[in-house]
Amino acid sequence: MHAKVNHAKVEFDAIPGNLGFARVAAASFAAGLGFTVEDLEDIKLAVSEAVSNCIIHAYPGPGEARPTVLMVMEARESEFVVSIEDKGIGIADVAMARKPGVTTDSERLGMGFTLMEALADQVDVKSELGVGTRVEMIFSPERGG
Amino acid sequence: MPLSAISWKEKPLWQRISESSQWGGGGWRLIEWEVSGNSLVVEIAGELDLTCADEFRRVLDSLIDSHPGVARVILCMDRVAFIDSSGIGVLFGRHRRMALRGGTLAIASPSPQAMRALDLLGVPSVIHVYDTLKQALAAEAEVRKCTRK
Repeated sequence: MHAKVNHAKVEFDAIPGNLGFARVAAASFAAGLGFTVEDLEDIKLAVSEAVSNCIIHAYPGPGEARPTVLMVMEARESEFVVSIEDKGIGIADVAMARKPGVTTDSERLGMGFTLMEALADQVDVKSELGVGTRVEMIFSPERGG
Repeated sequence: MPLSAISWKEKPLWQRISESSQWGGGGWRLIEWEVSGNSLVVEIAGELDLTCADEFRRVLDSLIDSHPGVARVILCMDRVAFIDSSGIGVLFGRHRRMALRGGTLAIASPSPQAMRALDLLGVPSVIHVYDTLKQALAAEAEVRKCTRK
């Protein structure tokens, strides 16, 4: 376990207009941690996929509460950890959802988790029906692509 | 290779949307388009994600539908700063749409950021990706030459 040396937390509405903000915020936080420009682009892409999943899948219908996404960023001694969390409907079968091409929408590729796994060193998904989903991704500057 | 200036003779959906705001209502914009040989060359810029995927699809469909005679659509992506699976899903969909009418979709001069995402999702194994627009147009001319033989 690496010691936490810095962290930031942002909560925003689960709307597409916040996608750009989320990925730029994550890349900005990670910028001082030894990542290359290409690494930061990978972080932006992975965060975009995770937040898109929240917006598309977590809140399918009108609810009483305002749909939000919580993004927590941590700088550890040799890695950047970002978690994307929603309080939506949850995922019934996380293992199935992580498979390539699995989607509930015919207009989507269903490749979000596949991309996250290709881009991050480690992806952890925890979900509970009716409670929400939390995706944690770990990036290391030494991963060498 | 810059696209030549074109006259806007009509204002279909794609043009109205493109002109409605600087970034087409989302993070992207249609720079310009022209017909070259049997190809419809479309230059796009900006960020292609969930924010604008629906609009991106509508604009491309409108352009494709208004040019029934073209056999290929070439998307110039050198000024695309970001694309994720939502944007790439639109590309696959337009590739299928062109295939249904016997045509193809190709990508020219993708930015390094766009190429990274295209590679990760295996796009080059389905859609032709060319380093430059010149190469894309030359490949199309070669196809026409072979077809005539």
